[in-house]
Amino acid sequence: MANVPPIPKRISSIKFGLLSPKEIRKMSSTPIITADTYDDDGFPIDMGLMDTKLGVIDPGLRCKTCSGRAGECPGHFGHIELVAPVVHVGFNKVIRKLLRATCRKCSKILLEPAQKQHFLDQLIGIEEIGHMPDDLINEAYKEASKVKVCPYCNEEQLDIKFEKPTEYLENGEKLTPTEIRDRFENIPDEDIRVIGMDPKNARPEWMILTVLPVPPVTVRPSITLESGQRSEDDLTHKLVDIIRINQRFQENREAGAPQLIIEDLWELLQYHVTTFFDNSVSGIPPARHRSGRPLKTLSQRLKGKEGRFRGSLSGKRVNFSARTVISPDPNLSINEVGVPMPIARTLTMPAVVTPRNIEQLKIYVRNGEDVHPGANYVLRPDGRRIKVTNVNKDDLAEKLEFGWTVERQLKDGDIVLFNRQPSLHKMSIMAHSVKVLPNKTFRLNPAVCPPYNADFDGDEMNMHALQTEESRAEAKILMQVQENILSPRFGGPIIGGIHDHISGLFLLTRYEDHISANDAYDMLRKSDIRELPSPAGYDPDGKPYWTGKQIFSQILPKNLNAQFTAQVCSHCDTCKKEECPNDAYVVIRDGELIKGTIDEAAIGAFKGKVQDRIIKEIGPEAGARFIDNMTMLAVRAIMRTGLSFGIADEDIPKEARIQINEVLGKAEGAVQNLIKSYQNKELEPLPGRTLDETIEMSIMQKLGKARDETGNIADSHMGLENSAVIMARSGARGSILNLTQMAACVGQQAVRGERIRRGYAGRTLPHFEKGDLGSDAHGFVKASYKSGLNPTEYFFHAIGGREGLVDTAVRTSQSGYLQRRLVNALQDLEVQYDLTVRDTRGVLVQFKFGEDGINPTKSDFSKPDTIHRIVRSVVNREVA
Amino acid sequence: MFFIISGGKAIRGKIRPDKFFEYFIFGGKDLTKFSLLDHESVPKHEIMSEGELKSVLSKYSIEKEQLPKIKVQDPVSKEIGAVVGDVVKITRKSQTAGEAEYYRLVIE
Ligand SMILES: [Mg+2]
Ligand SMILES: [Zn+2]
Ligand SMILES: [Zn+2]
Ligand SMILES: [Zn+2]
Repeated sequence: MANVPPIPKRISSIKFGLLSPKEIRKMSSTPIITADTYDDDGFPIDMGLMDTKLGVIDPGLRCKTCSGRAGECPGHFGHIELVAPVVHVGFNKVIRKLLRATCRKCSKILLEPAQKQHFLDQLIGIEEIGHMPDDLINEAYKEASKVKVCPYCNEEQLDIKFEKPTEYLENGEKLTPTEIRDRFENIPDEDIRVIGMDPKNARPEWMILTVLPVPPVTVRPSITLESGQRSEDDLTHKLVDIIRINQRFQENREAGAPQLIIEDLWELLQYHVTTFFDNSVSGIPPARHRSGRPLKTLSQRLKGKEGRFRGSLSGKRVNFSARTVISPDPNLSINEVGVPMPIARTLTMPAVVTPRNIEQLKIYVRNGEDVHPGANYVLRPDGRRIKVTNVNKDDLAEKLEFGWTVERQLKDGDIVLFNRQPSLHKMSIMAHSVKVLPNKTFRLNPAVCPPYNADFDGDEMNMHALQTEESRAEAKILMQVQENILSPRFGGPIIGGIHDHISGLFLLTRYEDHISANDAYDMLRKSDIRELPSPAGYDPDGKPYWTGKQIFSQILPKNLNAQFTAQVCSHCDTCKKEECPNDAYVVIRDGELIKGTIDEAAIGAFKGKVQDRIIKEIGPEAGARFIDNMTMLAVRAIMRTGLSFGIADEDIPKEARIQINEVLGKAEGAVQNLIKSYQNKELEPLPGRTLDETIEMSIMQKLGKARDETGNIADSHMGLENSAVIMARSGARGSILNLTQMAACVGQQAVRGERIRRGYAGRTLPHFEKGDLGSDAHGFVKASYKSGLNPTEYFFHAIGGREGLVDTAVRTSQSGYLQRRLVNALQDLEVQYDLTVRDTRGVLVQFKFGEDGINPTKSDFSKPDTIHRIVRSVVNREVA
Repeated sequence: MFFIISGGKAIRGKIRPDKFFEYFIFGGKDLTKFSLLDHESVPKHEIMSEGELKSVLSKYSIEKEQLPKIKVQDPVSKEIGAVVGDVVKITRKSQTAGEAEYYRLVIE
């Protein structure tokens, strides 16, 4: 392996074990015997919880163990000798298992010698092949706990009951920790191995504590309040409790106190030690502060979202970032982000003072922190950092010299990163240029919602101000929105028109054919177009007018050519192309829209052919400009006609209603006939299906067909004058199915792809006879949303709807975890300059990226269309 | 369910039990002697010669160990009789590239 570099340091194994009392004493720097912390002069008391042998946190003091100062001394453990042993909560389940698996008299594991040997042999085998022995160990536990009489001493085994969190009852009598410890001490080493413990590293009796390690003061530093009062860490408070009870216990025992009191104190000691480890165990109340706040003890520091692992180790926090709610602003470029003034005044960018910028930077410093754009800090070359205040701002501006750095506030044009979680693909973090705006939300062009998967129902996003020239350059070249319009996922644009953009341009390019000069200029006002082409015609009074197609053509690059079918295409058997009677074949020649309607297939996110062609043929800058102009034109176009949707849009004529009822009635009849033939055993089963499956499938099919038919009836009565139809057909929002469910018939409600069968014995609801196979008894909704559902229909609809919700909830968590595993496995792979894919050791994974070396971003919707297009443009005609 | 019929092509679908016998008996090929390389979805595997291997290694300027691996116990390794240390050349059909070559070092 000459070229494969060795992995620098490899962890060959990690071993976990229990601390023995001996080890605890050995690693302890001092026993802790007094609950007091500081003396009257404020110095730590010897053998107290703040003993300087445990390490130091106050500057000026030296550690008595390592003689290091605060910061140098890592801290050292101490220990408390417990008067009586207590159970370690963390091991309560293991203790229970051990008690059940070993003899109450001789402590041997309750397995025949042969059985024991069998498990031991298997364990060794499993260890050799490096598998987890958990299953085997559980089996051994299970076998041993079944045995009722000890095979070694014939002692009858009693029932062990476990009461959370630390009580064990044998036939109703409490086992004291001392008794448990005695039993565990006698378990032979060999038997311990059978139950999966390594006797060298973890003797079971060590799970019953006789000595408690006291964590170093560096783990539980006290803080000095402004009043000069000391406030101790929660762990210290807990340790004080333990020591107090420990002392009282000892005094009472020495004084020969009654057994009842001793037991009470023992229980109390157990409680305090338990809550010291984990203050959220069920079965006991959590220990609280005087204020009523529960204490944060050891396991609370580690567990959960804000714990050490998720919150401190995996969680990364950064400076120069901001987070707030987002809202739309169609007048911003897709490359811009609107930044609220308070954020712009807080975040800064460092600027090194040079002869070229010194005057400008002086202005910023003079503006101070309150006047935007100002400066918040000035850095001197010696590393001193000076805050710009209203007092020193003029002074600092005068002192400014070459080589100093001014941390100036964010201003228009700065490059920042913008991010929305969950960051699932590279387009979840893109670079935008800042536009400082009033109010408190981030503003973005709605056309960039798809890559972030953002909407404005309260979504929040993060922004990061870049701090070096290199990062800003890199972000601008690689991460700017316009560089990410084309997705590497499918080789098409994922940024484009949404919702009203599509409706607007649909209305403009399909119906508008009489636009006055005034209106035309008004619609194009926000773009940089200031001239109109020759008009489409003249009114009788001599005034010129233009068509919507002409207006749209103005924002197209002059040399753009494209031909494709629009979304509204009804997929006729033979497409008449340019002659399409439906105006559904788009022809753009030399930047002019000759034929066709602009809709989702032309400018939509994920689908837009026009953005796609512009970016691939002219460039991302032209692409961004087109999307900017397109969104602004579309917004003005939709305001020209207006587009609204009301309940009346779901109206259908009376005859249609009658037709629909007829269809549904017939289907019902057909279903009844099917049921009859099924009951008469005349039904032929489908191949490979049982009779029951056959009848269900036939009914489903009949009803599905009926629903579709009602949809067609409703659809045929709603033309493109209906705004819901416009939105559905143009791809702006909603579907024809949504519409027909509103107007005609909602249809079958299903659970796991089957008709609804759950509910009462033999029927879904008490409204139906037992064994009723009819359509309405199993969730077929005859009504439309407009006409309203009857109570049983409504209930079935809720059942079907709930499944959808559960599905999405389950799917997101599952796909999230899948994504995480994939990313973890693939994150270090890299495409090299020779197009090979290699890992960090230089081992090849692919000899050519994707077997073909094609960059999917540059492909045409992942189809080999490029060659055809080149040939077409050279020979100037269609080629096969 | 997969069934082997004459010609070594796999077809997928539900086959009625009565039809099954037809395929099994009159399939035209002795199923006990079938080679797994005959299957449509198994790409061509062949052991590379020393010279061929050398040119591949120099093309990517790598050592043998940097190649992807395949186990000797792998059914395909057994089928073509590869031993540890051999390099297997795999020629796959590709929708976009026509044919794509891949190399794997045989390991234990
Ligand atoms: Mg949302
Ligand atoms: Zn120290
Ligand atoms: Zn015994
Ligand atoms: Zn058409």
